[in-house]
Amino acid sequence: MRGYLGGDVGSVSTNLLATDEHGTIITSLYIRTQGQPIAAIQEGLAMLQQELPHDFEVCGAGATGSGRTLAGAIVGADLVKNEITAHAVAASRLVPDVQTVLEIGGQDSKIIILRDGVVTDFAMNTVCAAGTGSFLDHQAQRLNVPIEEFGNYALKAKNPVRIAGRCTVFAESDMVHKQQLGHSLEDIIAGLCEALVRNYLNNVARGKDILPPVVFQGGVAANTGIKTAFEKALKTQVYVPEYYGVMGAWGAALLASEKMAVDNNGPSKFRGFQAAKLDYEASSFDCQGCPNQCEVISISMEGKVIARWGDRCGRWESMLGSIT
Amino acid sequence: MSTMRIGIPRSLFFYSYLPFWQTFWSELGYEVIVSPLTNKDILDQGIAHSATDLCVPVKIFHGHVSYLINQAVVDVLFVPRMVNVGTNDTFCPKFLALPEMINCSFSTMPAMVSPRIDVRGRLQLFKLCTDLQRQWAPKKSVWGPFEKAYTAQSQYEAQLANGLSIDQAWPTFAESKYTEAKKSLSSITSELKIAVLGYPYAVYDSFINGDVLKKLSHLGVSIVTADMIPFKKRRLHRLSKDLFWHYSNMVIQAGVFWLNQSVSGLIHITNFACGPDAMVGKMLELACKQQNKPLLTLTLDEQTGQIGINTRIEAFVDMLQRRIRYAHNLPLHG
Repeated sequence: MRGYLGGDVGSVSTNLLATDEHGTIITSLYIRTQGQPIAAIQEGLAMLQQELPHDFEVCGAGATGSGRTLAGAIVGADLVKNEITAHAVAASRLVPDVQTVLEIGGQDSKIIILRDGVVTDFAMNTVCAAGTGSFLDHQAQRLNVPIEEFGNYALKAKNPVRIAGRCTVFAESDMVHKQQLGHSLEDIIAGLCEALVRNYLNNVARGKDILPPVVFQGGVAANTGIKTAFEKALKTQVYVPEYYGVMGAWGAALLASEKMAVDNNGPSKFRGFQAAKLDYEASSFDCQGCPNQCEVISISMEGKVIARWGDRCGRWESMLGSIT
Repeated sequence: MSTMRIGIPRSLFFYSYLPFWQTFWSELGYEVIVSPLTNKDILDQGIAHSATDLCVPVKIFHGHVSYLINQAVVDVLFVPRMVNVGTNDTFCPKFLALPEMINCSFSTMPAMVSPRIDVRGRLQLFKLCTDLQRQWAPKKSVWGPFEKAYTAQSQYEAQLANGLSIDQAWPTFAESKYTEAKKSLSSITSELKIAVLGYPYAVYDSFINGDVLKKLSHLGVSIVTADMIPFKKRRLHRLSKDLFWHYSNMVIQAGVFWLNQSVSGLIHITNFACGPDAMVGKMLELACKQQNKPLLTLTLDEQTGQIGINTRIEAFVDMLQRRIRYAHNLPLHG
């Protein structure tokens, strides 16, 4: 069996998946990065191999997410692409006439506007991570509600309370206050979902023409409370794909397959599933070449440096020649 | 008497007016010390010496001042009060209060030259320079230095308008020795033309903006900036009502100008917590919407991690390339 791999290494989760030759997802996984991207990628690779048929042949691999460069170096990716493009490609594969993609991940949130299958506009959250998955995670912990249950609580609300959504710090103190006034947990959680959506629409999506069909993806799409709050605010149906959590990885796999086709299906740079067992090490040092003192990262595989980045001038990066 | 050393901090007014002041002071017999390119140490010193709520460029300015005082140990510090340069607008309040701010932030200060730059035309600038010469170099004549400085500045602006990068037009702007020789910005003739707009101290400070100009040219983009438009041409694109702030008007006018010159998209580089930019960002957004061109806003702060900036510009360039390919009916992906 032949197919493609896609990986999306983000701040909170690492997602890997495999597709068949035609881009249909065979298996996928969503694991927590927990601050150790290399370990997460290797663990994911090993798990993926177990799920796949023994004769599975990787024709191409793509990497995306904020850790895409790292992932690309470790697995040997044929394509390393930003997550906007990856998410857009995956969404339009699923819903060909999609016009709006809402994506909320661990520390990023973005909106992608498409017309006729082409991205025409996008925006990402600016310096502030308000209204992303990490914030919800944190609040769920504080309220002692498992994050998986968050949405169900929100749906049971009778009268959602208003919570300030502009800044997570203010949102939190507002929430504490509402708790102390005696509002029910359900109403507070629903209020929180509405605040997050309000913040998203007024900041990330400010000035964008949100037209249906609307696809909502990223880890936070698991939360039905947020989906419902979006539907209420946008007055349109919001579609959450089955593989909402791994859409970026899927996009990376689809893009990899297209890239391989453009390159006449040459050999893939994929290092093989054995990459899960190899010894990778990341080290960093401050370059003393100039006052910038860039933090240079070296990734070595079995003691041999395979990738370097972080230097502004390219002095260290270029010493390697071809890295993947 | 040994030569007096005057220090010019590398931020704010620096990128617009360095050729004038560097020439002027050195012709008056001063040794001109320019602080180095912004680096981590300068940023840290700036944060340590400035009030917390200031925007990053002003903090960076403090860092450069700190370098000039403590490391270069200059005799005189040049911190002009930029008010007006002959247009119907003024500089941002932080420029207006810059000398006081610097005075309050450092316990030991060398002598400070802080002329009030509020000049309409060459004659007023000449008078201002005469005052400076009388006070700071009484034995010299003002005529020669002024002429040379004025010529240097005019040439610099003309060269920028011809598409040269700032370091080509004025060598003091040059990057560190490891940076590859930059091509002139206009020499890349790609189908993908993007206007990169923002205040000069955001667009040209490659440390704080994550080297966005270089990254874009590596992605094969041809870049145009506000400085590539001759002043008179730019002013034809004034809004029906000007904003108060000098650089803000420059950015908006340049935005409208380039949107009319068939750029594929616009990148607005802004500093977190910049008050005037709240307005500028919105005006650019409306102008882009009118022409159905995409706008990318890059918000800069103290962060030195570059992945956020990389993702945004890569995605932006990707999007524009795909738009072009789509228009030409070519395969979209890959």
